[in-house]
Parts: sequence; structure tokens; C-alpha cells
Amino acid sequence: MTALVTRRLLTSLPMLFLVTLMAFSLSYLLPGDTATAIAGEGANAERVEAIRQQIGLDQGFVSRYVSWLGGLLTGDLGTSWVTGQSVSSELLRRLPVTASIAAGTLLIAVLLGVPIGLLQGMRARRSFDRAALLATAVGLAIPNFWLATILTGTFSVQLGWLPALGYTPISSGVVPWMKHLVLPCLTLGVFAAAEMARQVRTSYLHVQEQPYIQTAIAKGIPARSLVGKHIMKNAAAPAITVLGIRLSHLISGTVIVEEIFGAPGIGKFAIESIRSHDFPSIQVLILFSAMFVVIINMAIDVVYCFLNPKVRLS
Amino acid sequence: MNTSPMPLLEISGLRISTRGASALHLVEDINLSVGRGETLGIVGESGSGKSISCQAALGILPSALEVTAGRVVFDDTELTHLDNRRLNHIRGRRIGVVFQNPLSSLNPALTVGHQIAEGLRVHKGLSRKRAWQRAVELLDVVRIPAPHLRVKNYPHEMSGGMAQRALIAMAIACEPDLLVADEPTTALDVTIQLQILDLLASLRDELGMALILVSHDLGVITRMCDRVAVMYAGQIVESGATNELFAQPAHPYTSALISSSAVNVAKGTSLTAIPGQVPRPRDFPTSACRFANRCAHAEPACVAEAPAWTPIREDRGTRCRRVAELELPGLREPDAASTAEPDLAAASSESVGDAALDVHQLVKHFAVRSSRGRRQVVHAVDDVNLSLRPGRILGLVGESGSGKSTVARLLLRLIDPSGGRVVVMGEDLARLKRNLLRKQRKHMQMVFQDPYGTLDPLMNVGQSIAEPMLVHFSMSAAKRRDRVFELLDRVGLDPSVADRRPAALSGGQRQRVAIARALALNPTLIVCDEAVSALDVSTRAQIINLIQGLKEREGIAFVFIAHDLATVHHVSDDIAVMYLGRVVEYGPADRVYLAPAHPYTRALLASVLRPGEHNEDSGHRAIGEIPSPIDPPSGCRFRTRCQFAVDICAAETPQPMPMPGGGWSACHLNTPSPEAAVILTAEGFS
Ligand code: SF4
Ligand code: SF4
Repeated sequence: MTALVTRRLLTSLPMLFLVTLMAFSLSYLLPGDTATAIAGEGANAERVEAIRQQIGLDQGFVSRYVSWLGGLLTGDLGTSWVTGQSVSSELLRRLPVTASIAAGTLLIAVLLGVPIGLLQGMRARRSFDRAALLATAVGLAIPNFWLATILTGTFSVQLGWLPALGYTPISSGVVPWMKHLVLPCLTLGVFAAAEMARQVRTSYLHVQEQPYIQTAIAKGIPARSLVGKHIMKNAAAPAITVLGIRLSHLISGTVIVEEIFGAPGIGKFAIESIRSHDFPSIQVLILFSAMFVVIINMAIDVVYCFLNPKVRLS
Repeated sequence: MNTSPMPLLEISGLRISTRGASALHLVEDINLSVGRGETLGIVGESGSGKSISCQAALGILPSALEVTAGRVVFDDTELTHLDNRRLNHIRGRRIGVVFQNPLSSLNPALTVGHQIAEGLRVHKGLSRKRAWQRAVELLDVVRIPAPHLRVKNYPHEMSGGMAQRALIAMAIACEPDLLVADEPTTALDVTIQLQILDLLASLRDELGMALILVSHDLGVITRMCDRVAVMYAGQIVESGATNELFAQPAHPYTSALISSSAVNVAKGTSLTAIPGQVPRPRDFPTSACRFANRCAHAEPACVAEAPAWTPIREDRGTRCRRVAELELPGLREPDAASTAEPDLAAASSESVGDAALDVHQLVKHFAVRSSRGRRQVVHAVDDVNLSLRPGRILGLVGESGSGKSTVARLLLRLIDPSGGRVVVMGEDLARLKRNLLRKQRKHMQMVFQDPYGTLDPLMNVGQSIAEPMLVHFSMSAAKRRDRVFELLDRVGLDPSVADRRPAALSGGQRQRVAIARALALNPTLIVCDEAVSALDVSTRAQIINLIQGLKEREGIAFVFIAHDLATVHHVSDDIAVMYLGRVVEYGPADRVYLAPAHPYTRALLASVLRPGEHNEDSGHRAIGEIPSPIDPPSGCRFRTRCQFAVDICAAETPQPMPMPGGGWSACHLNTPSPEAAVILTAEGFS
């Protein structure tokens, strides 16, 4: 297991290195002069020159890149051009928001998607299955900004149960924290749960047809352990893969949801940074997403290999 | 067909149909019974309905099928309409099942021990610990070495034979009254097959179980069963005591099955093939004999009315209306085939002439990495020498893992050899450059076990056959079309087949198409890699006759690779026996088959099960299973399984020693077998 993790980490190093390179080159891809672009229209030449010096554009690409990399390694993620604050403190401040939304979404996907998919598998082609197939098709088709509008319209505006905007940290009370999370999480969770249900149903039905399930039935073991042990253990692996993929897509999902619900998370941070050409922040955010994906994939591998002894050995 | 006063399992009037509006009846009117301590065999080709009949009896039919008529009574309990909860009191506890493919029949995510212990905990209420201990004991009962370690294995860590033993351990865990074994040895090598059958028989006797054995192999049935039921196209067409039924079959299908088996027919003669194919369920005739379109004895009355079940006497009956008038051939005198004296003069394999194929010291080593990342070498093929003249067939036999398929791929240079020469038509393939190789390749073609893999499912048959011509010849479309028809005709297919897709063909027809495609480039050599192994007995005979015909009429040389020694002996002029990457014995087919000199060949031969003959034990056995080709045993590679092994066997690699009667054998003992001794005196060798 540790060997697997180390190997995965080592093989992802070159990839991460490439990401840093690409993220860093971004500031050079802006049309025209970088400093002018940052200074904005109407800035005088002195201001532009001041900026150029301040961010070190007068130094060569290589030396800037190396010093940036060195900073990353020592934990200095750079300073925002816009706010003048350190990027790391901004990131840390916003991380809990996004993490809460992501966790809530996954929770919905698992708590809703898995039982629905399982029930569908067990009662395949009967009325519950058909209804759920329809419902999940709808869940997969609804665009999330639209769903967000409907949800806020219903639960905040009409019923007034939940806040439509903003975020309160958990430190100022669990209930308000949760109340603020429900709508963003639902917005993302409906899709994730529908996807999960579909995957669980498919793999359940696939596993059910396998010869070893016939063996297990012929052994006369009760339905409970048949489903719980024999089917689920084999059906879980593909479902978990799907969950992992969803999780790594969640980053882009939170960008939209945080914008709609005005939650000050990383997604919103990304949008703000891009709007204000705040390159130090953008670079770190790109790197952060890449690392997030690498870690998720590794986690999937570890779980997968726990579920599938064939992989575990090789 | 009642024998004992009180059968343990009695199936009567069983009908199984597909669910849905236009239900197809897959099997109909099945009547079977089996008593305690008795073994019932069910024979039939694929699609005959033999497996689903057993599944229905256990309530484990696939969800698309249901029982629509009849009763299954097990020890006074009617099973067909029992709910799952009550069925679970019987399944696994009183009836055990062993399926065909051991590796896919075990749950890949659970340890073998867990899977065995599970049934014990459910049915016997054993504690977790006690059930685990019992699982270890059971693995010992089925003779798995080091059971306390194996119990923790996952299925993929076991070989096929060992997984089948584990499956048997699971089936007998609760000491059931009835064991159902559905093709239990079909996926296994012959030497392992024999071990598994022996195990089943001894467990049956020890536990006093009734045994139902489903198989397509008449030899397996003969060895194991007291009584047998023959199924064809969803019906039982004949049943009775095994010996009697094989000696005097009362249904033309049974008779034809027996005569199409290679073990039962004199070498060199063509096998009696049953023409045509088994009809598909939607084509089952309702008011005619289902065998009529393939039956040599059919008369107009046979297609006017479906023949009724005709009891001949108690416990014996047939579904043929002409039973009274027909005199059907059964098994020949025991061993008529093999008592024929080998014609040694004609059989000499060393005669000169231009070889179609010459293989010299062929070597193939693969590098692999162990789980710990260590580099290891797989000795897949070591120092193989073969030669083959035009118009002859060289048989290559051995268990899986013997390297015979690797040799096949080396012959066509589908993979590159690590050393040695492969000379085809005077050109050394091993040294040819890629572009020249392509030209040379048209002289050699290959036919695989599964023609599905080689025929493009999206192309029709005509396109598939024409494809190699497009690449290698320039000819007009009309000419090509003519040529396709000609090729189809040569392999005995109707020209109309050209427009069909591979999926619409039966296994035998697909194999014919694959051969037609191979013939398209006028090859001098065709390599058949297990080309008939997946086919049913009757179809297998058709393909074998086709290959022999091509050899005789057109002078094509064949390398015929199979694991079944009887079939290889029947088709081949010469045989090479491979074991763990080496050829251990080589010579004229009759000499190798009738007077085998190498202990491994003898062990292979001892595992050939002849229908109608309760093979008495010849004492030649291969112990255990074939070892890994990584670090093969030193000296003689067979020594770990050889019952004659002596000290020198580990120290020195035995060299080929010429054998009287032709060919050679590579064994240190090198004493001609007793059979060979007989030949010696007869032929006046000294
Ligand atoms: S009933 Fe007629 S067609 Fe059928 S097996 Fe008998 S002889 Fe052949
Ligand atoms: S050389 Fe020795 S081990 Fe090998 S087959 Fe002969 S007797 Fe057996």
C-alpha cells in the first residue's frame, strides 16, 4: 500500500512540475505588456514602471520562475498584486468554505445515490427502477445555475426557510453554518447523486450476472449477505471511481455555485483573481487544483486496491 | 426411469421458457431421477439445455428464464415454487453445485476461506473461528497442499485446477445429499481433469452423495456415471444405463455422437460427422423430430409428427420412432482403434524432401517483473526442433503452460524469437526484415481457437475472406468475388454465407470461414492453434475432416496444436509432445500414441478417457500441476511431477534418444515402453 502511494506520488511529480511551469508562463501570455495590462487603462508610465519593478518583470523569466518555485517549496506562495496580502493566508481563509460545500455534496451523492442505485438494482425493471431512472435522467440534465435559481426561489424567497446568499463559518454556530450550506450543496449534489445512482445500479446489475454470484446463490446464503458482501464489494469499485472523478470535477462546480450563492470560497477567489489579473493568486490556484486532482486520484487508487485484491498484489 | 424405490431427486415434465410475451421453450418434457449414491450423467452439446435443466432444479435460473411446467421433487419437497428463503435451507446445505469455470465461479473480492466458511456459518451455525478451521480441513480433503496457507488466498492466486478443488470443497462443505457438477473439468487440462474426476468419485463414495454430472464429453461420462441421459435441442432423446446405452444406442443422435469421437475411430479414416447444426430454440420444430434435419435415418413420417418418448424397458427409453427397426452402431470392440498395428514403414518421420517448415533450436524467453520489481525470465520455449514436409500434419500437444501456443506464434513470427531459426520455403523468418516478412507471411496462415477474435464483426463473411486478397493480390472485384465463392465451396459452405455477419453463424461455420480466409492466399502452411477445442463433438469432427481433406487434396502442411492427445493422434502424421517449453517426445503419430516412451506422454495418454471404457488405472500419472516457466526445474523439467524421477534427472538435461519405431524421446530412463517392446519383436528390431 505504501509502495503504491509512493509510486503514485513520484510519478505525479513531473506532472506537477509541468503545471507550475504552465501556470507561471500564464502571465507572459497576456496580450501586450504585462505591467501595462496590470496597471489598467489610463495609468501613466511611471505607475507602469513601478509595477514592473515591484513584481520583478525586469528580471528574466528563468530567475523569476526559480525564485517563485523556491518560494513555493518554503511555503511562501507569493503576495497578491491586488490586495498586497499573502496568497497563502487568503487561500487558508477560503478553504473551509469550499471544503464544506464539497463535503456536503459528496454526502448527498453517497447518502442519496447509493441507496437509490442499490434499490434500483435489486428491483431492476420494476416501477421503482423506472421512476428512479427517469428522476436521475432529469437530475443529470438540469444545468446547475438553473437548479440554483429554482432552489433559492422556492426555499429562500417563497418559503423563507433558508438564506439565499452568503456563508457563516462553523465557529459562529453549527446551525447557521449548515443552513447556508444546504442550497449550494443541493445544487451540486443532485447531479452527483443522480450520477452515483446510475453507476451503482449499472455495476450492481453487472455483478449480479457474474458466475460467482450464481455460486453464492447456490450456496444458499441469505439475500442480506449476498447483496452486502458478494455483490456490493465487487460493485463498489466502479462506483468509487465515479465518485472520485466527480470530486475532482467539483472544483469547477464550486466556482459556479460560490458565485451564485456569494460564498467566499476558493471558487470565488479564482473568479476574483482572474477578473483583477492577480497572477500570483491565479498561479497558486492552478497548482492547488492540480494537486487536489492528484491526491483524489491517489485516494481512489488506494480504496480501489483495498476493494480489489487482484490490484493489491500487482 | 425409476431405479431405486425412492429417488432423491426426481424431475418430471420440466419445461423452461423465456419470460415475456412470445415465450420460447428452451427445454421441454424433461424427466430425470437420481438416487442416493448413484451418479447420473447428462450429455449434450451446447444449446441442448443440459445446464439450465440443472439450474432450474436448484432455483438458480438466470432471471430471464422461468419454469413453466413440471415438478422438481427433492426428498419429498417440491422445489419449483419454493420461495428463496426456504430454498436456501436446501441449497448449499443439502444440494451442492460445482460449476464449469472455476476462476469466474469464485468471488474475486473474497478469500477462498471466507467463501467456504460462509456456507458453514449459515447452514451449520458454526462460529467464525470454527468455520475457518473447517475450511482448512476441507481444503485438505480436496487435496490442496498447504491448506492453512491456501485458505487465505484470493481466487486469482490459484491455478484453475486448484480453484476447482476449492469450489468442490465449498460445494461439499455441508455434506450435501446431492452434488451437481456442471462441466466440472471442461476448463481444465487433461491431467488435472483426471485428478478432479477421481476426487469427485471418491467424495461421492465417502459421503454417500448422489451425483449429477453434466458434460459434453462421453469419456468423462463413461468413467463416472451409472446412468446417462442424452439431451438434444431441449429434449431428452435417450436414457439408460451407461454401458448399455453406449454399446447399443437406441437413438441415431447418440450413435452419431459416439462415432464422431476421435478416440473411437481408426486413425486415418475420416470421422463420422453429423451434418448441420443444432437448431436454435426459435427453430425447434413442433411437429417433427428435432433431429430429423441431421438424421441419417430420417423418413417422411419423422417430419410429420414429433416422436413420442418410447420406453424400451424399465429405465431405458428413446425418442425415436424407428427404434424397433434400426440397428445402430455403438462403441466398437474395446480399443479396436488402438490395437491396429502401427504402420512403421510409412510412418517414418525422418524421410528427406523439401521441408515446408524447418525449426532449429528455437528459443523464446520473456522478461517479466515480479511483484517486488525483480527482473525474472520466463523460459517459454527452449531449444525446439521440428520439421514438416508439404502435405503432412504435425501435431503439437501439451498442457496449458507447455509453450505450444508460443511456438505457434513464433512460427509465424507474430512475436520475435530470442534465438534459433524458423525456415519456411527456404527463407529464415527469424532473420527476415519486416517488409520481406510480410511477403513471406502469405505462405503461412493461422487459425485460432476463437474465430470471433479474428473475424471483424462488422464485416460480412465475404469481405472477411476477401480482405487478405486485397492486401496481397491485385485482382478485379468480380474475380475476387468468384474466388470467395470458390473458397467457401472448398470449406463446405454455401455461397450465400458470404453475405452474412459472423454473429449469425454457428461456431463450426465460423471456424470454416476462418479456414477459408486462411486459404485465400494459397498458403503452404497453416497453423491451427486449438482450432477445434471450443467446438462441440459433432462439429469438431466436421472441421477435422475438412483439415484432413485439405491436406490430402491440396498438399497443404498443417501444424495442429491441441491439448487433447486423442484428437491430435487422429489427425496428425507426426506428433511432438511439449512440456514446459521443451519438446520431450517426437515421432510418427502411431508410435507416440501407441508406444509412448516418455513418462509425460504416458501420463497424458493415461488421462485420455475413452467412451464406453472404464479405464482401469494404467499407473501412469502426472503428479500435481505444471510448475511456473520462471525458474523451471533443473535437468529434466518434468521431474517434479514424474513418478520415475531419479537423481540424475535433476542434474542433467536428458537428450533426445532415438526410439524404435521412429522419432525420439528425451528421458534418462529411456527404456522402450512394454508396448514398444511388442512392436520390436513383431518388426524384428534388436
Ligand atoms: S425419429 Fe426419425 S428423424 Fe428422428 S431420430 Fe428417429 S429416425 Fe431420425
Ligand atoms: S528424465 Fe527422469 S524425471 Fe525426466 S521424465 Fe525421465 S525419468 Fe522422469
